[in-house]
Amino acid sequence: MDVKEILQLVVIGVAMGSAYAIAASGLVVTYTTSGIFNFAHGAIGMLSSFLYWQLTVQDGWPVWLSVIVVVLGFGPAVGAIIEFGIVRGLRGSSLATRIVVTIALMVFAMGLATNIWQGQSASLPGFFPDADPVRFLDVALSVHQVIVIVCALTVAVGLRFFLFRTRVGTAMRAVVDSPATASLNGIKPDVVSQLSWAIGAGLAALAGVLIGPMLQLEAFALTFLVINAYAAAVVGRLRSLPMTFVGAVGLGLFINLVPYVVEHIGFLSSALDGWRYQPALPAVFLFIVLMLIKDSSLRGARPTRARTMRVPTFTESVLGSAGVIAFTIVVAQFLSNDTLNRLQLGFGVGVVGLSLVLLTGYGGQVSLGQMGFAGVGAFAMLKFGGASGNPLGLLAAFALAAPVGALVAIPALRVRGLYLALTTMAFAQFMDETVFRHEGVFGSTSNALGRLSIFGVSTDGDKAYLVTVVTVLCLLSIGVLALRRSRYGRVLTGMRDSELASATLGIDPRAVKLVTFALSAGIAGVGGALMAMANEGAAAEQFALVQSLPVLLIVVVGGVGMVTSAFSGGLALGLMSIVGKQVDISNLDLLLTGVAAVGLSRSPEGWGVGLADQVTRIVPTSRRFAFLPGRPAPQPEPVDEVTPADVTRPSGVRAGGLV
Amino acid sequence: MALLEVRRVDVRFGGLHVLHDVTFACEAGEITGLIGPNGAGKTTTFNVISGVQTPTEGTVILNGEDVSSLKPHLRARRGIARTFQRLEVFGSMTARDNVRVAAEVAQRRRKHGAAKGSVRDVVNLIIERVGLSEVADEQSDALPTGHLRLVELGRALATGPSLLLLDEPSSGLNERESAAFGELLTELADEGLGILLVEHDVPMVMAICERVHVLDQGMVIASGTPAEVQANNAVQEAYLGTKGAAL
Ligand SMILES: Nc1ncnc2c1ncn2[C@@H]1O[C@H](COP(=O)(O)OP(=O)(O)OP(=O)(O)O)[C@@H](O)[C@H]1O
Ligand SMILES: [Mg+2]
Repeated sequence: MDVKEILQLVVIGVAMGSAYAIAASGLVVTYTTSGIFNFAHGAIGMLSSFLYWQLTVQDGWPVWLSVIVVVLGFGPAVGAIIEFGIVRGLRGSSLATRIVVTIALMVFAMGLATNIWQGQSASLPGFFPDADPVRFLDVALSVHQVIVIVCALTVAVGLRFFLFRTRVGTAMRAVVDSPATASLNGIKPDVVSQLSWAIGAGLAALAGVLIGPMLQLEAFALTFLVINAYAAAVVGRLRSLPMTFVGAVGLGLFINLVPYVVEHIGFLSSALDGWRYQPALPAVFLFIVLMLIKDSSLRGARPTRARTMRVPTFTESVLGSAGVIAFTIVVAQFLSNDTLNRLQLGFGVGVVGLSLVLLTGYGGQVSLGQMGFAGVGAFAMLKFGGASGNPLGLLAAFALAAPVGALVAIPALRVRGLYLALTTMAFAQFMDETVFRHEGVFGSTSNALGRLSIFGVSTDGDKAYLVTVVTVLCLLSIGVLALRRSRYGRVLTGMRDSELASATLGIDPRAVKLVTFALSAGIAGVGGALMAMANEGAAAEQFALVQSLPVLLIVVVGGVGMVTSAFSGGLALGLMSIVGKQVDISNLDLLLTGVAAVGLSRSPEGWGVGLADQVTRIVPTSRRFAFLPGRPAPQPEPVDEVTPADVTRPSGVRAGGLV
Repeated sequence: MALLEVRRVDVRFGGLHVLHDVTFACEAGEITGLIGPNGAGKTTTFNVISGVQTPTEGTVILNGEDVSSLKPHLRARRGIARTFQRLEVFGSMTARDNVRVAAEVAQRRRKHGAAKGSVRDVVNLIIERVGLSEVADEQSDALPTGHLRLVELGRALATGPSLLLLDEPSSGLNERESAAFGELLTELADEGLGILLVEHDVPMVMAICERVHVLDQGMVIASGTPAEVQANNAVQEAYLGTKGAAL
């Protein structure tokens, strides 16, 4: 054991942790004051990194001026604009919508960065790159690292002072618990909220400028640094700034010391040989922290803006499906192979989207990790279907992905809501970075995967395969709708409305959620198998974390409670990819999905629902348009708020006072 | 053996001592009243019995079995059903489906191999009994509070309970509906159901309950027949002291 080496790692860990701390504290400030968890936090940091690089390296601006422009100008402005333009529209919307909107921003920012700074994977110099390293405890620290640590300390002290010693800061802490109290102080809640977003985004920008030089300047990697910030913030339960700092430094140490430990412990290093586990360490850390959170309380009913969609009958779903399939067969005749292929992929993702209709739309659980399950399905298809296209491979995809889903759900269901979403995201990142990229999973070179061959009829041709994918999507939709109409579907709806009441009827909430998670994972697995067959080979990139995010986006935009959103979403993804190729804008799908989902703050239940409303209004004979939901139900009566709460509300998840 | 025994239950929320050493029992086939001023701890007691709130100390015994360590759904399966003061109706479902979910869950659990039609019959019967026939197929979000209380009652009954906990079930009902409601409760008790009733409508409690327990500031300050409780000085004081309203 080499003490000096360890010390060096500790110091680097602390420096990295300091940068995470700055980012994470920004996340906490915005979350506690506005109730919106900003998934785009990392993306703001990423854009700031690039902008800073553009100004200093490309345009030759002085460092001090660039820092001011980026950290005090760009960051806060972006935060304030997001707050004004989007966050305000989200009050009272569902968790899925609130999550999806900032994810949309994140996706949009990634699309933007890859377009503006296309292919520029430059490295960013740190502050004072030529200065001699500082020696401390026999360890060398670059001046940049020292500056990072000093900045973190300054931010910690500054935030403390601001929140506890200034009138605005006090109002900011108060607004969390009661907007009315804050108003009494003469400060408008809107102003507080906007200020908190400006501060939060400013901190993200600062973190971006500081972290950029410590890593490669790469849009996706920098954006997903947000997972590191989440991990730290979750240690502070998304509200305690001191604990967030502790978490950030802990994470920095974890990331730097685990590889050292693994390297020096024989059986660990041989066990992990060939696995890229290091990029997944933040996700592992996040997972561990989430597992330490105990939140066993049952959620009661609360009024939301959600409406009830009429569920189509069996006959309607069969007729609708027949129509869709017939339409596909006809249209497919006129399309080029490339277009067909893009649509196949789109509807393959649509199947993954359908898994979220069940899980999120019906069950109220938000998962950001469906591509993790899809990849498992693709793996099963590869092993069982192989080159021959044995349809049993699809069954295998379901049968393997479903238990994996249950396995993830067992620990993940200890938490709920936002925390559950974060846990599934950590899972997807782990699968992406570590499992799918392992040589033994998808293989390093392209693997031969034949398209389905059903009773000797091959679907090898692009037309036939598109029809196949759409048919599978239809069959699964019919199945999901049948589930929805069954006893299980009613139990699921009851659980979504009130877990508390469900439990007192003898329903085991955990069992129901577990089954739902497994079923949903199974469907995602089938989707993954279809996606892989569209490409005639499975590859890790298809099932990357960044691919998981648009899935939730497309179904929420289409109306997450309706199976039609899986179709519209699949179609939209296919079309975006087709158009993107025509106009030669890289990642157009990311840009468009981002824009589309941001529109959610105007129509928080999804455009599909809004559209359905319009059509039912115009065509009151809804039987003829039976696939459309009925008229929206009247808004729920306000609950009598005077009586004290029946039950202790979960204290862990709710945004408590900022401390 | 009593149907339900609550023994020496203590609940603290941080520094707030909400229930002190609460002990009482309910018998099958009887309506037991649990009354007390606002904030006395009645709902908290219900939460402890149904397993939603873990007490700091104390035990809950149902039919001689200690259910204290069981989760809410397991207690429900042993026969405890409840309604909520702050409503927990399945708002996106019709009133009928609210009842139906409960009936289906209960039927499946019992595995009597009962015919498929039987859930529908049970649901129809309950809907009719609680008086929801006219609004049964409306989405419950759209119903007024009084009806929602009936939905919760019907849903609780559909689980086939042996003990029914009702938390302020008549608030939101008009006088006529209240009277019918009291009659229904008496009928249910006559059929063997044990009912624990929390109710602000004290005359109603006095009229239909066999026994009444009075909670004040987390303590049982009196127990007995309605007449005994009414005559009790401590009870008079608790009510006069906090609300200025005589019994
Ligand atoms: N989750 C909780 N956390 C902290 N205190 C609570 C909680 N739930 C209840 N209390 C407090 O416990 C006391 C008893 O509340 P409880 O709701 O049991 O009273 P109650 O007798 O049902 O009153 P009411 O007649 O108004 O319904 C009250 O002071 C209440 O504020
Ligand atoms: Mg109460």
